[in-house]
Amino acid sequence: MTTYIIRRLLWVIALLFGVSLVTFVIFYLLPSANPALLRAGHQPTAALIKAITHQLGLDKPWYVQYLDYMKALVLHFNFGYSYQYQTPVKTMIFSRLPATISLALGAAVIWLVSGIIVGTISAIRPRSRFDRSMMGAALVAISAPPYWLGLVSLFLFSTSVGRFPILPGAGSYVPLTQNPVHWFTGLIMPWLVLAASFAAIYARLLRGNLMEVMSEDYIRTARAKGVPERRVILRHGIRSAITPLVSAAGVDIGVLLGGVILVEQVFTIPGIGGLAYQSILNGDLPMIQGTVLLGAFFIVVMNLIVDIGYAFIDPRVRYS
Amino acid sequence: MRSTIERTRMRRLWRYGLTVVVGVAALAIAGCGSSSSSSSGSGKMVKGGTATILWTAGGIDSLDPGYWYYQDDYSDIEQPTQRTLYSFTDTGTNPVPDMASALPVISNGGKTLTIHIRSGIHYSPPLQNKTVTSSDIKYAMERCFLASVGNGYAEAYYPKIIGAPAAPVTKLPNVTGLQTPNPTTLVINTSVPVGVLTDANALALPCTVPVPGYYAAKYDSGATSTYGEHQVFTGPYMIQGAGSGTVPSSGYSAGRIMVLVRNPSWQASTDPLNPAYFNKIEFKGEYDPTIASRETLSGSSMISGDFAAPPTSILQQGLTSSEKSQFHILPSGGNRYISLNTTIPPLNNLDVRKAISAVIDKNALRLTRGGPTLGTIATHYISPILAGFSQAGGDAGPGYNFDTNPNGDLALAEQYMKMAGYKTGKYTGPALLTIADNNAPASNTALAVESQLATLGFKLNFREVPHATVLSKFCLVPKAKVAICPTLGWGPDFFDSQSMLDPVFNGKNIVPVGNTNTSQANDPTINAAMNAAEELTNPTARADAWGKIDDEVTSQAFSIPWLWDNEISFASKNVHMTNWEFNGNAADLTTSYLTKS
Amino acid sequence: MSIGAPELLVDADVVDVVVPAVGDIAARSPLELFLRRFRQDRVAVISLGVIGLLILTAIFAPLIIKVVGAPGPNVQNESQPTMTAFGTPTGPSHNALWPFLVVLAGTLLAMLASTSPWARLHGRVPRTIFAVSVVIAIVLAIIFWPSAKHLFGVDSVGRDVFARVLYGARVSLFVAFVATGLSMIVGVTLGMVAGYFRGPVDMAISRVIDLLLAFPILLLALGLATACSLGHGCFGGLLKPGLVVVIFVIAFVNWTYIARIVRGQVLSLREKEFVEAARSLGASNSRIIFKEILPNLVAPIIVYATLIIPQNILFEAALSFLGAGIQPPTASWGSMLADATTSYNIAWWYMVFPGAALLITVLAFNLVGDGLQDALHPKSASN
Repeated sequence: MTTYIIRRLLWVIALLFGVSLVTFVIFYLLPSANPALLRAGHQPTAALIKAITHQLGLDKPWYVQYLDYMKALVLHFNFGYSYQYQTPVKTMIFSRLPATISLALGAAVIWLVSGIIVGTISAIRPRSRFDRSMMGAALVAISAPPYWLGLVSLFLFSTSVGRFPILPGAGSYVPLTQNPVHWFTGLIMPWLVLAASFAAIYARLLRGNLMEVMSEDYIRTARAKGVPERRVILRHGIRSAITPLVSAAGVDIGVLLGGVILVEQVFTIPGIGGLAYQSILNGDLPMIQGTVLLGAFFIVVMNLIVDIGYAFIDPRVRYS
Repeated sequence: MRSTIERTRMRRLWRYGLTVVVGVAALAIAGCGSSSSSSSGSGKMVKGGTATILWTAGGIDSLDPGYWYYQDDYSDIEQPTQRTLYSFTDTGTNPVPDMASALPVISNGGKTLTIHIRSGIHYSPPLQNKTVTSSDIKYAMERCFLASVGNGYAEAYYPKIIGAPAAPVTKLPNVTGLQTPNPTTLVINTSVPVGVLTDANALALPCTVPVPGYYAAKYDSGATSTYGEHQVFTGPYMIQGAGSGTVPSSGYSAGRIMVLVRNPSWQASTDPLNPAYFNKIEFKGEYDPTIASRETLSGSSMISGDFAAPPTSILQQGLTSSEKSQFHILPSGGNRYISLNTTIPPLNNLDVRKAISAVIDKNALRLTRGGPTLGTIATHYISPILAGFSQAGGDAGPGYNFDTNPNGDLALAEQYMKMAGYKTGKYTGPALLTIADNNAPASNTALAVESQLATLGFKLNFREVPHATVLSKFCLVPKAKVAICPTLGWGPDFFDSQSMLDPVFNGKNIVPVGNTNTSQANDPTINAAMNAAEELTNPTARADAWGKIDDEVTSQAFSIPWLWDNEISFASKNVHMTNWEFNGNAADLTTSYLTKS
Repeated sequence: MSIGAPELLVDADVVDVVVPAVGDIAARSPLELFLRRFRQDRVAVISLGVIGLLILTAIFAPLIIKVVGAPGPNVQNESQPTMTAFGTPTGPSHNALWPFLVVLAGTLLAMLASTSPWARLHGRVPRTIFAVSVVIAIVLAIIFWPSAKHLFGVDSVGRDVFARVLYGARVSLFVAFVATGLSMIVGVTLGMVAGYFRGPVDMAISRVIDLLLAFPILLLALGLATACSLGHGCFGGLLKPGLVVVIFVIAFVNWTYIARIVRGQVLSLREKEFVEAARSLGASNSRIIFKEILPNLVAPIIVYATLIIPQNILFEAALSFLGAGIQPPTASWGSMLADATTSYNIAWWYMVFPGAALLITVLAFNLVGDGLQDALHPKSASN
């Protein structure tokens, strides 16, 4: 078991190195803006730009710049300095992380709970009115772009500009530490919008799995043994059917923690997604590196956790 | 949201593309340079209180005084927390002493300026026991030449000071032309008379914010200066928590928050320019312009922030309701224009440029930004509040026939095309590379330009790119060979037309990167006229000379000016907001106050 | 890629491999069985019809616009009455609203009627109500047609939203189909090569896939799209900004998923007896790959394609929404939504219509995908 974990950990580190290298190459070879110009700001002369380029080490060959960057990262945990914000990258990222985490985890709770409930009920009563309407609604939720759902809900329910103002809308995020009540109310709409499509997916997933599991022999045996139906479903049915959901949830949460660009944009939540997006637009290479690495980190680590979880459950996995 | 994050860059060219600096004298009184308006807050003045400003476009650029140059930097941090050698009153167009005690004494044929500095002005903690001396101003000006500070105008206005480096340097230069015979006297020696120094305009820029060298030298020594995070303040306010010597993240976090509190070392007796009524000023960032505008208009103690202008929907709702009195619509002093690259055929042909100028429907372009509220239709470059405006023809302009019809004149345009050799009157040839800002409303303006040019047969290779890239990668880079940049604009550094015309049309300013002469205009006669006008020290002579240059530049149709911008600021009902004309008529936080009805 | 198709995530044993068995007494070929099951799923068939309609609309967009009398998608009209004095757009012509309202009312009424117990006895009633409302709507549309100039209103530069929605369909469908096709070709090829030849080739390809999968997809796509959307494009002008870049970027981030799935399938297939049999008969590698293995991949490939196409439609819309996709002035539903973000509080129409178009398109594809899945794997019924 330990060797498996160690092997996977080493692979995670190798992956992250690979990600940083590829990101560097992509954004170095295909830069969208001249970073020295960004730093230079307003009406810079050619001489100033040249001086800044040299000062920031931008005239060195790309592999030297990459090595410098990795050295600073690994040895000093220094992510570099943002040309756009004139602040260290690390400071910006860590100040924005709580917002993304609030958004992602809150939505995850909502979609898991609702997805499991809806999926279970639908599986128990297949083809009933509940099942059909829920699965229909689920398909609609999957098919609608989340930013559109966000816009529509803002248009309808936002307190500042909505037709039926009941919920705080865009730009109302406050950190949890500042005001828990406002933090909660400000995130309700983004949570619901983000959770909508995921809840739908998970409901369908659970429904499919649970229906398959419920037709297995051991379920029939349990019923024949006289186990109450509720126990059959909860203890035996869901337990087996839920494993793919957990692993999918792990992966999905990993992806979301790296930044929910679209929902953050629509609701102007100051999270990592908006930071990454702005830095790509502005060609702010250190910030791009930082946010992409962070996103990759979450993805890979969550995958690792899920895999290790599976290895616990299914020993065969360790030897593959 | 992508399309609404715009930054107010009043001061320079590229920023104009972003800024939706809305300004409109709805009363359409041309050339009306008066500022002050019907105050939105009428009632008893309240000394104190907290004002809140919402940022939607990233707020200020940097904490470093040497870096400040944009409208937001001025209104949000420079004006409240620091003082420069000279400054301007809210409605004044001539510099008045601020840190200095009097206007500079000119001698030696205009090549020597002697400036007396007020004594007894203390820095904020942790240097509360130190006072401002002339060597601090000398250090401040010298550090503006450091590459690690990134200042962008030292090369433009201070190069003729004796001993000034020709290019940015990595070690602090010793500018021998800046002398400090005693702690309250600064002497500036230049090699030739420099008009913008003798009239003190260039001494109102943030490079003259005092920076104590004995304290700041260690912060200026790295690859990027960190003095901003450790700066000491001389104005009525300071960043909360900065008294320890370091700005805490609760006092400032880039783009997100900034809190200004009263500076304990500031004394009203030494500062006649800044009454400073508020006790606290809070800036909160990352807002959506529509939401921010709504909240400011219907809230209390709030003033409009760094967005270029409120979205047109807010304008429409606000100006057609009782909220109208909360808006101040004033000229900003800047212009907007469509840049044509004169080195790319067929734009090297004067008749083709005249044809394009004739076909442009300036009213339609203005409508894409929000209509007449947004500004006056421009017929030349110098804007109504600057000297030289009437000399260039005033509102009607120099009167060239390709310039006079604000609705566009297709017939005239076709005539010019025929004169240029296109028999049918329509363009036939390869597509022209056009780069536009991808944010509204600049993107809409660019689309309108595209459809208007299509009526003349022009095919455009039309690209919309993120704002930072428009300038840094395309329009300011001659090698990128961009033919048309339709979303450019320019703002004056101070009330002198040299800063409107010289950087944009003087051939000597064509550089490989950061080229502000986007049309690559290089007419020897015009260049010579500009170089001569730079050295004039008499204000009337300057106005005449630059007005004449404006006329000639317009006649060459290097670019097509189409708008003299208005700045649209607004505040909550209980705020008496005043505007600072020098800063493009943005709100002045040191003279505005809350009211109680 | 969890969208509710768990069976595709299983690497090992594929259920229901369509094996061309020798000497099978099959009353119907597998293809016929599949078609039969699909036809029985009414929702899927209707959705297929909707997709067909969308494709026709996209192809004949210019003709439709001419017939309806709407201006072209890029005709700007900044003068009144389509724009106010502040340059804000005006909404859809009021007359154009009636047909939609009637259809909506009829649908609601029909749904309501179908749930009541009385309707069970008179089964035709809901359907009749719906049909009648549609007829009334058509009549109204015909009567008011000449004055319904801007069916969906205009956008912020005065362009007709109806025309742009139609042209947006072209972009969305074209990008989705081509990008999916491209990613399939690359993914299937690499997946097969990796799964069949194993060894160092497999290791190399798998590592590349792992690396790409570690990236946050949207960021990677955004970065590539932004970098290539400037001026003359990237790779020496080979990828021109706009359509080409978007297709390339979507294909680039997508091929890894299908490659992984195909690789898994091939890994298990190559151990099967029929492959061994073919090998012992002396068949070359390429023959085995193309004649034995590939046919068995058709089913999962098709199912995967139908699941991926709607994802790619949404992906292109997301890229355009963020400004990194289709270049203006070409109409794309995503960029129309982006334009709408600045003024949705007063101009709801060009937020609602492109979004609804996206919803309907993606929904139709998802329903067809569901139907295909059910028809191919009847045991894992999801409907």
